[in-house]
Amino acid sequence: MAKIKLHDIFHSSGQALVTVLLEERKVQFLPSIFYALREEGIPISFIVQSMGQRGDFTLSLATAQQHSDWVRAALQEGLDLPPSMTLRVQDHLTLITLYGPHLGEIPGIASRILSALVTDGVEVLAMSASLNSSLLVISQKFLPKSLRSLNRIFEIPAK
Amino acid sequence: MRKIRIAGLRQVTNLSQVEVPSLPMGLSQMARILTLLAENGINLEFVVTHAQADETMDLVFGVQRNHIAAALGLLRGVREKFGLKEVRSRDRVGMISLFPHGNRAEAIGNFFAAFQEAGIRLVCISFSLSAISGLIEESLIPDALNALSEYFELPG
Repeated sequence: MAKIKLHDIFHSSGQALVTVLLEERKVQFLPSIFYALREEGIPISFIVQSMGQRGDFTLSLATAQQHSDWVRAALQEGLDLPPSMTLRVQDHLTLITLYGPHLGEIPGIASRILSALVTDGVEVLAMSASLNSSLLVISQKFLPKSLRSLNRIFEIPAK
Repeated sequence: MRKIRIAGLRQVTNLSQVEVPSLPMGLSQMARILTLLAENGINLEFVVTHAQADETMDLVFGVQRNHIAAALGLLRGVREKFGLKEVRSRDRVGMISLFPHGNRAEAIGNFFAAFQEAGIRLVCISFSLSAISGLIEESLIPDALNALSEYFELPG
């Protein structure tokens, strides 16, 4: 199978992924939490959200690891979550960004990415693919293996 | 709230969303699902997957509305074979993508605020290198665009 040409691939290690389960009524507090993150200069490198059948939401966001305690506290307090409420932080992660081609131009991009990674035993903790890029959150320990897997299916321009 | 200058907005209509919840951690089932769809010529507009509180993963993806029957038919046909607990779909949805400059946290804050003010529920959020995208009920796209125009300044 011919390799798919990418515009670029880059990765950023030292990331943390914060995942929180939200009741719908708590979503109203999210803007002020993100404004607080802006005030603190905390970057958001990844965010996805999906809705469960009962109308609750799962929100996952990645930030630099040194900010994860701050983000956890902001979500815990901003959303008024009881200590027992599930808010998970995973660290020592890497965010891999595959830039181009547009997802709508070539069928099967996401399938090829996941198939290559699963073949090599890489665990993906989160993924978002839309428009012109695919973002993968993996454990840092899988980075070399992931890059080898992705090199098998993508033609990556030399730097 | 500060109105933020952005590079642009994009809307895609005629979409359907498919949700396959509670997949075991790891990628094998997800890869099988996406491969099945790709082999049958079903292209995906977006894909989101992340872990849930119960240590399972949800797979959410969007297809053009004219592909939803085929996608659901394929997935329901392999439900037992692939061990899928459930396959859900949501019809008549559209995606609004916002292309921010600079600070993502601020843009995300305004993004959430705009949808809340308009009373619009974001059923899914995906993220790309250049944009944050929200999936909403398609009929609400004009309201969403109005609301976003209160929080973001478009070029030109």
